[in-house]
Amino acid sequence: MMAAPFTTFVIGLALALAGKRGAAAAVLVIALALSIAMFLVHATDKLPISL
Amino acid sequence: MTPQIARSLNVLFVLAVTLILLAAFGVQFAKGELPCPLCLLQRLAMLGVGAGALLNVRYGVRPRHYGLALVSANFGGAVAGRQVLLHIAPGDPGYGEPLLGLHLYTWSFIAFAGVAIILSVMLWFDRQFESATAPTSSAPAFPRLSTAVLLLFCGVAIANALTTLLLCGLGPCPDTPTHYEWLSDR
Repeated sequence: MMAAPFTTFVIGLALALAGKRGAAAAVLVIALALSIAMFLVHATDKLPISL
Repeated sequence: MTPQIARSLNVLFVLAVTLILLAAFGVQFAKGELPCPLCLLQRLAMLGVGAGALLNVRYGVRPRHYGLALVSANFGGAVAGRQVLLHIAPGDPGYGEPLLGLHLYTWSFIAFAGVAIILSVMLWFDRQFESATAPTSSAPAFPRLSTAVLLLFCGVAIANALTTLLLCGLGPCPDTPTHYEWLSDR
């Protein structure tokens, strides 16, 4: 699962270098959102409650 | 601050982020300390900081690019802060070997706090955003060096993606990894 945001970041960076500014920004934001989601999953997993 | 100086500073920013990520690789491969899930999340946040600076270098300095880097820095600070708090109890040995008296996640928290402050200060200077109408006049001072730094950053990002795949596979990463999932016989 953790490989997904890394791969998305790589795709975003490749788009940025290829000159696709809008697509790159969108993909990089998705990568960041995926990372934050991973953190929330990890954080809530340690709490004595379930979501 | 002129647009050219701002772009050149962003090149330095990408270089600094790249060196931090390479240092993390150094600990991973030279010392054999495999990164935990929170460590990987901090690397992702550092990639986000670098990506914002990369967009500034590639397309001209924009507040939205700084925004991406700033959100990433705050996210990284939150992750590092959580890891500090997880190991704050007296007697807890922490995760990994300390470096210069502090664990890597503590250094990481300091780095993200520093990055957030620097990015906020960079936003004080309005003149750098004038390049929006004439982007070609604000190219970084050393274009070849800038290209090399951007390519090195992308190479480090690819290496991080590959090592994370080897370490965790396609499933969740273990809290305390002991081996590379895709390199083991099991």
